[in-house]
Amino acid sequence: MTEATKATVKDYILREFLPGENPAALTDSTPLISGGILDSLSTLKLVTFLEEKFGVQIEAHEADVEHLDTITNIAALVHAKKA
Amino acid sequence: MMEVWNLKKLLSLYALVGGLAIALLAAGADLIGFASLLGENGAWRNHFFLLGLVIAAIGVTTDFAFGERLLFAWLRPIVRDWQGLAKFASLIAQLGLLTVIMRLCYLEHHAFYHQVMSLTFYGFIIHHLLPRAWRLHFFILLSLAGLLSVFGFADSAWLLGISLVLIGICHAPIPFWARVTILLAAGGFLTAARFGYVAVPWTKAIWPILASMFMFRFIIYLYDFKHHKAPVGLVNTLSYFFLLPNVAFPLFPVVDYSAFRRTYYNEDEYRIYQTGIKWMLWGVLHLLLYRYINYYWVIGPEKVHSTYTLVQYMVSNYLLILRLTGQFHLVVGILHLFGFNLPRIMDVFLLSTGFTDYWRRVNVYWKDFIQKVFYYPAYFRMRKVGNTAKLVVATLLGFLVTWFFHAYQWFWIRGAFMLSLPDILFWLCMGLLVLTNSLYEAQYGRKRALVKGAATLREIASKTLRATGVFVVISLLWSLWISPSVSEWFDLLKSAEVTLPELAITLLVVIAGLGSAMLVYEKSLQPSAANPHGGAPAFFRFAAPTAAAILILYFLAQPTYAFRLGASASDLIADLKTDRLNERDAALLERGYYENLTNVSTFNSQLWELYMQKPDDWIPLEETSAVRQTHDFRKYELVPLLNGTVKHAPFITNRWGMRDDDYEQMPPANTYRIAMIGASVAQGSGVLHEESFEYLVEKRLNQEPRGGKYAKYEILNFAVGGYNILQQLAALENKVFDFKPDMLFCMSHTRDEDRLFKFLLETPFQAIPYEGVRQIMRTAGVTADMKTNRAAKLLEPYNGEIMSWAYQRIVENCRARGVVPVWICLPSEPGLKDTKRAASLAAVAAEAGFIVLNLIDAYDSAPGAYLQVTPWDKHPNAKGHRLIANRIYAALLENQDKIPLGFSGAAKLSASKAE
Repeated sequence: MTEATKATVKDYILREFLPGENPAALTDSTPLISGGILDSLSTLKLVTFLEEKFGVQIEAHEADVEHLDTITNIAALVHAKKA
Repeated sequence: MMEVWNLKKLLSLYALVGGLAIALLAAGADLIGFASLLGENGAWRNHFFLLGLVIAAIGVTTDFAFGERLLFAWLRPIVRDWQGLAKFASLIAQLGLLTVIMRLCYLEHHAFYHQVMSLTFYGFIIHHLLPRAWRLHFFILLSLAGLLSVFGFADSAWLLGISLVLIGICHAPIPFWARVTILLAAGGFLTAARFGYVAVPWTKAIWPILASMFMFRFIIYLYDFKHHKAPVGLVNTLSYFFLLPNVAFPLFPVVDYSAFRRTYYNEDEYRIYQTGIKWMLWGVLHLLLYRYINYYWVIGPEKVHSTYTLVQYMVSNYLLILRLTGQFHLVVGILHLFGFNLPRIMDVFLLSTGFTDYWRRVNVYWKDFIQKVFYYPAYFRMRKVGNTAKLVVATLLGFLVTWFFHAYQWFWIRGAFMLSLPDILFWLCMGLLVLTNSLYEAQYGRKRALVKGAATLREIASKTLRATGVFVVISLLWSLWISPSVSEWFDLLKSAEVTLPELAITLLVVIAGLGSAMLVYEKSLQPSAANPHGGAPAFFRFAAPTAAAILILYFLAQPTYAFRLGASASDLIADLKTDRLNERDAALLERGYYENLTNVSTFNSQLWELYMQKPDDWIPLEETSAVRQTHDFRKYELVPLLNGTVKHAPFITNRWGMRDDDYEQMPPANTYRIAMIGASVAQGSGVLHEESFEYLVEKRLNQEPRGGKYAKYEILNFAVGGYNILQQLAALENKVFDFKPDMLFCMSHTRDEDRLFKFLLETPFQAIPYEGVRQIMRTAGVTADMKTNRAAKLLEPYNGEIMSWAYQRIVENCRARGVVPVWICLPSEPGLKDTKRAASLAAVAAEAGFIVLNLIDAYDSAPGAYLQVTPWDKHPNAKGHRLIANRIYAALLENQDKIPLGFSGAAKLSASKAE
């Protein structure tokens, strides 16, 4: 479940925000917000995607570096929401 | 038995820590304002210091003797870690040199380069040697020591008390909404107190610091507390609100609480410290660059008349933001030294390639605050609305809040809510530009990369052009922001005769400058050859560039080495090391104009900071009862036989309305009489009459017998604070000559022209009694009904001509009465040595026929800050007056062949020894 979530999220990030980048360079621990890949606009896009794709509702205070900075964190958030 | 051992163990520990604390408190008593508790002039300091060491030694001995050996257990890993010790020594050396540089340059203000930096330097060493569990406690103690050192005991106690009450409410065991309600009520009470509606026992000095600690951080703290985003607790909370650098920099209010906690020692401690030193170095460099721009490049709107001056006005005033960026880097750097590995607050925003990019980079902490507390919640709340509409509403709300909070911040710091159309328009335009850019990015995306590759020339060119566009637009908006009104901004734009070729040349210069900076910036983002994978370099390789830059800066700050770079470079370095106002601000301050500075033009100015320190009863002479109206061109004069107080100094006048001893109108026989005209410096503003240079020179002339032909010398002080040269001329013609002087001292300083200029613009054309002056004004094109801005531009080129006319008239008057005219020029204030202007004024005075004594070097032997009455009143203090008196006396002796004071021949021989 978590691995599948990670793969889905990674695929979305590569497609939407990093077109043309080497997929191997994006790991589960690559910093997305603190690394400058996700800014406020792309964070909102990602949240919309997560809500639609996984049927979860993410709160404003969860759109932060603690929950969305890595693919692992994102998958954990989705997993916690679905549990 | 166990309890006894525990007691022994604790006693030895307490003795060690308590002894060291006593020794440290004694050593740093001056720093935290405790010196008076250690006897007169700190006489008991050494005793307390030794006592502390003895107690600590007892602690060490008992610790060793009773076998626990905690001290050794603590120190052993530190001593054994040779690499760590080497890194620590390197950090201490860099921080020590930086501290010295800041002191040599008088960076910002005394509270920073003395108190805060001393506490930072010594605090950093102790903090690092402490076990990790104690460090946060020590940081809080250090921050409290910072408060004590800057505000004294009473204000610090109030500040601490208010803070604890506010934090206590935040954690009260009642529902969240009730806590927020009580906090709002407390905020309402403090607001009323800030407005002055409620009398409070603390001084107004603590408002900016209290505001800086709570006005935004409380919002963030409550938000994070409510959403459990970071652990809270007394130590965590106090360390968040009581940040050591805040006592010197109130304009650093926003820090994210969860980031503050999350980044605490989140990587290798030496690397965190080194990053802090790097940011501090950046801060110093920004502040020095700010001084260069502020002293040599900034112009006021009255000087704008062409494309180049318009661009100079816009760009130079925009770049004054470097002061803020410098302060922010210093604050964040200092926090790194105590383990807070906070992100960079500003990110090379001058190279922003779009308006969203600019918003993200110009103040990262502010952007994060608005995004977290307002932008995201607004966006997430509108779940049923389309994405574009949500984006529009959330973005505009973010800028509305930013505008409001800016005014709110101004209220807490300045005591007045700022509401101005330029400010509203500035934030509105910024909001619309960012929104437009956001909508574009939402539609078309933004290029990102996982691994930073080398940028091509085409990419750099494209980025440079975009950065130029952003820079031009922001500079233009900034000029609107700093304008007192929109109409004055339009006047400014209209007053410049802009031509296309000049505009094209200016644009090319900007493109070239930003292009070069972009090349360097892009290069800096590439992985280096020594570190091809772009990971973190080894500590010493990481530290080397910063250490080298600090070393170079240290040598440049030493006069011995700076001198080797040549006279002009040495003079420039000496000036950049001086903390002073620029010419324009100094003129405004001198004339008391800071009283009315309520517009945003003071955002980057040092003036409002001085204003904040100024007591309410520190008012210009002409607004006190020490003067009376004359109903003529002079406007006012000193009240005779006054015995009062002006600027906290006794102010006594004689029966003739001079701030001087009493004199007969007719000079006694065998007396050489000198009349002195001038303004506030000559009048002795801010010092006792007995401390004024006029009194000291007169005393010395009479006490040191020269064996000449006069038995007595008198100097009659006709100077009146605020008089310009034409008012002095009027006083000369109406009053001074009645006292039959033999010589006239016309006291001048390097801002006399500015003062005259301002006076003429404020005086109705018909009220000027001198046809010569009116004629020059007519030639300039000034008419009676002309608006001030227009008249200023026309009159400025003729200012020197009016000065020359006034000087000639004074000399003619003197010659007609057999009075020897002597013109004496002083710096306009200690620390401000405008040699060129003094030379130019001296040439005009000499041409008019004065005997010229150019004493622009009068204050050379001491730093300006030590010679001023107060930080907000730049007139010379008693020491400054002594230097002036010595310099005048020496000049009189040196120039006896031109100045007939009637000394004997022997006196001439001693002239060279006069000083």
